[in-house]
Amino acid sequence: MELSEVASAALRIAKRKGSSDAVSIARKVDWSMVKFANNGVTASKRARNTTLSLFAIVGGKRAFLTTTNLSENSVEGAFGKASKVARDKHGEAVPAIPRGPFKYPRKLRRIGDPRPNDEKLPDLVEAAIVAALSAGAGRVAGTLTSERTEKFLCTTGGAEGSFASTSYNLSVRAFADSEATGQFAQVATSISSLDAEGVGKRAGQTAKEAEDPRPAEPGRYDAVFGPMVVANLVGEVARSASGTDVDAGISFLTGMLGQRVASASFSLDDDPADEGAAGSAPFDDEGLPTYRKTVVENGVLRTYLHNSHTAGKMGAKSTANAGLARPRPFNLVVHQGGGSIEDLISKVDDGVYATNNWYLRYQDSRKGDFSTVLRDGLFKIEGGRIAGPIKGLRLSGNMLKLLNGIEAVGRERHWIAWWEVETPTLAPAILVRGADFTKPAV
Amino acid sequence: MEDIVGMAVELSEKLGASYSEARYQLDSGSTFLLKNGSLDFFDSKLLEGVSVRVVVDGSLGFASTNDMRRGSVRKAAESAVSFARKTAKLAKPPVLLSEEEFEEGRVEVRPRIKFENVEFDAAVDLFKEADAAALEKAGRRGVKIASRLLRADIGVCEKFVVNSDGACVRSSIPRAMFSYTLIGTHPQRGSAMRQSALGESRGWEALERWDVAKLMGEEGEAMGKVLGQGVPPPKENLDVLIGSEVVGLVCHESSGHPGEADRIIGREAAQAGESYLSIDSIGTEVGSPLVNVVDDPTIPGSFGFYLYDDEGVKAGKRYLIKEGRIAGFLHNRETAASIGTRSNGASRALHYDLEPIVRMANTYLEPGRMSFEELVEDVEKGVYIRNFTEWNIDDRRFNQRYKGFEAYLVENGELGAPVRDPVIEMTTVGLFKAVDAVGNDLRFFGATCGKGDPMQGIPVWIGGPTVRLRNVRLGGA
Repeated sequence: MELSEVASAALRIAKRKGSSDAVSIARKVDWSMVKFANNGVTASKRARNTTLSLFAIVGGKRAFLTTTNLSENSVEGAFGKASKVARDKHGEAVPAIPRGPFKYPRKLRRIGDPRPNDEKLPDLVEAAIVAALSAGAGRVAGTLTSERTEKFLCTTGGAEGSFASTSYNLSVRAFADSEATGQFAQVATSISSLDAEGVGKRAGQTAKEAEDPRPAEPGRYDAVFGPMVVANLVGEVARSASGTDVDAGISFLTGMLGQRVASASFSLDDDPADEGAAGSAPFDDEGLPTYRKTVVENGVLRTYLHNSHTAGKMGAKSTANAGLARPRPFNLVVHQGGGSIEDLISKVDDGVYATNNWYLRYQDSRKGDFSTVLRDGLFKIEGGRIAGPIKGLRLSGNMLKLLNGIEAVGRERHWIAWWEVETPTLAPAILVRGADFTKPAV
Repeated sequence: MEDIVGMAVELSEKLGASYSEARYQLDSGSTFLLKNGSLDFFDSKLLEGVSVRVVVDGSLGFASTNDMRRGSVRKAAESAVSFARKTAKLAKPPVLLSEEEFEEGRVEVRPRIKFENVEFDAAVDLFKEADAAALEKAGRRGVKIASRLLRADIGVCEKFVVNSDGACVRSSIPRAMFSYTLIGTHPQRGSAMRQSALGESRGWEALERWDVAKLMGEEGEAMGKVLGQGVPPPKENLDVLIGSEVVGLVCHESSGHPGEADRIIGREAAQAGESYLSIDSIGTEVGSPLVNVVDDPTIPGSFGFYLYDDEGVKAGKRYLIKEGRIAGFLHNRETAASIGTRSNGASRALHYDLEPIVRMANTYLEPGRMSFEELVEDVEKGVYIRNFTEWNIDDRRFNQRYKGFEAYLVENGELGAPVRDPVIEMTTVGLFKAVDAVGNDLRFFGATCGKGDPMQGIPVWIGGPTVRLRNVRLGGA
């Protein structure tokens, strides 16, 4: 069955069940992954899935259905339960979805490769492994994923549209020994723009440079964070800018609209309209045409990310960031700075250069207090130069303080996505003054 | 459906697979969220499909489809075989699977109260009562819990697994989870956050039995004490009592994860990481003789309950640490074969379209004999950390941090003033070796464990009794 038929049939069911408004999205994903470790492939995986997502307003309340069983009987039965609950007396009334029809830019109807296939993935994996080994690693692990998505949307608001996109995501982790590791990642829309060799080489070089790390001393340091770290931190800014988190009061950006949340050196956009970016889309999950927006401009928070629900609650306009359940970014773009990473390091007298992090957790997301473990290449900076590898530090601080401590942003940017970076992010390195680092007592 | 799954196995063999396995899985469930006292949304999910997993020329292939028609499942089998063959020259070393004995198995857990039979008004009223209890108890101590997210996830997971070595297992397991986030504020003393969860392999009756209103009242009370009256933790070395929830998390993060054999052999190195342990670590002393850590999928009603894993291997209780020494690892057939042992049935997948990998189920510290009062009475100066709010750990599972939420001073054998923001930042071995007494108050909590490419968040229990750490320092170095 065509995606348009699946989505249209579900929309009819939603109307029949008494929905005042509904959005129906059918999405077909062809996905492949080659997973590798110890310099060899460990698994080759493919998935072909068509999923229907239905969002409806019934009796003024929100109900959602996600299903991979696309038969009309199954959809009707499953949605029937959801609509019955939504019709109940509980919950707050939500605004209507946007009224169309809308026009979507032609350039975003086909994003990436016209005829993608996964046949080249093994060769690219091999190239990444060889490059990392040549750069000094002893062992190499990683994942390479290709994905083609076709999406069709129709709404009771008169919106209707479709698009197809491809993305390729490579993550390489290189080991010089068990404690000397380096990781780098890239996400791209076409296989020809994926630099498997470059990603492998960078991971391998970092691993080699991280050999024989010294135990680090905890304390307050100036820090240079590489693009992998910046992409993770920026993802936290975007998540916290989601109207859902702001409305719930669990975001450190709650109440900060129009105020300084970062140093003037830092600006961040969400850009769904760049046809060269892997997360782009012509419309959001309510059918609104997407557009590029500046979330943080020279350190000042300019907008939250809204769907019509959060916008309605907060007296704002939707920013066309609807995910079905919550607003979300498409592609995050940190504005370009001026210097090379060496320039940033040269400005640090006594500090730390961190190439990657993981496991960021909040002790208080409302305040922005968090900690995250620094992993892979971690280096001491002394007198403006890398003095050598170190290990065992955790970045333990406050998100607003950290963002306000940004003194400089690098020129070179990379499109990053991996386990810890869900949204494709164009990230540079940054220099932060006065970041706090801790380590275990015993 | 069953004949189609069998067909996929047979077809894969005909196409040249030395091993093939097919799994039908249906996950159906509902979620609702009460946000700051009001129903935010109701969500239904129905994820159904078939996956095929094969070994071809030593290369592991996997493919899935949500289209249950014979032709589509056939294509999935062909796709798994062809992709495995395509990468076979890079599969170094070739994938081998351990020899196992298989049987026909059937596991059915029947919920006493199915979610579709729950009066939804009553369910939301139950949550509203819980929400109000948290607000009221904290409010009495001058603390406002401004952000309150109470969430229920209820569902049933049905699986049918067949492989070319003779396994044939059907299972149907319901799961219920209650999770919550609370952020309290105090005009002069700032804010504090608390998150936790309960989970069981049962129906709605679990939520009724948990008495969420009482639980939220206790959380509100604790928020009031900690935020309203908490004092900074002492800086000198002292004894630290850690409660069941913290002990359970420590066992999960610092014993369970480093004991996953796929991490140890490097298969998860790309993202989830490796382990501070090696295959040769069996018998290595990593803790005091009082430390016994178990992972047991077979506990009836547990959140991580199953009796056969997703490779069809019968599961059982397994020791990870016994009397302070590494006693075993968690294995699937691939990791077991790589070191010449047998699988202990730890292979699980979250949904039909995901590869089964080595996972924990219910990981806990075995209880000792001491009552909570006996643990406390022997402490001259210390801190009791009942539960936590934030944690993280490095990818070798050695350098960890747990930030306590509800905590109290202990002075001369008695609990004293509430303590705010105590942090345990220790190495795995440093922490386990500091254990000098183990309580008898075993409790379990629900959790979602993340691992895999793509990420699979899988239901587990974490648990343990109260444990005493002797002469340690809070707050890291």
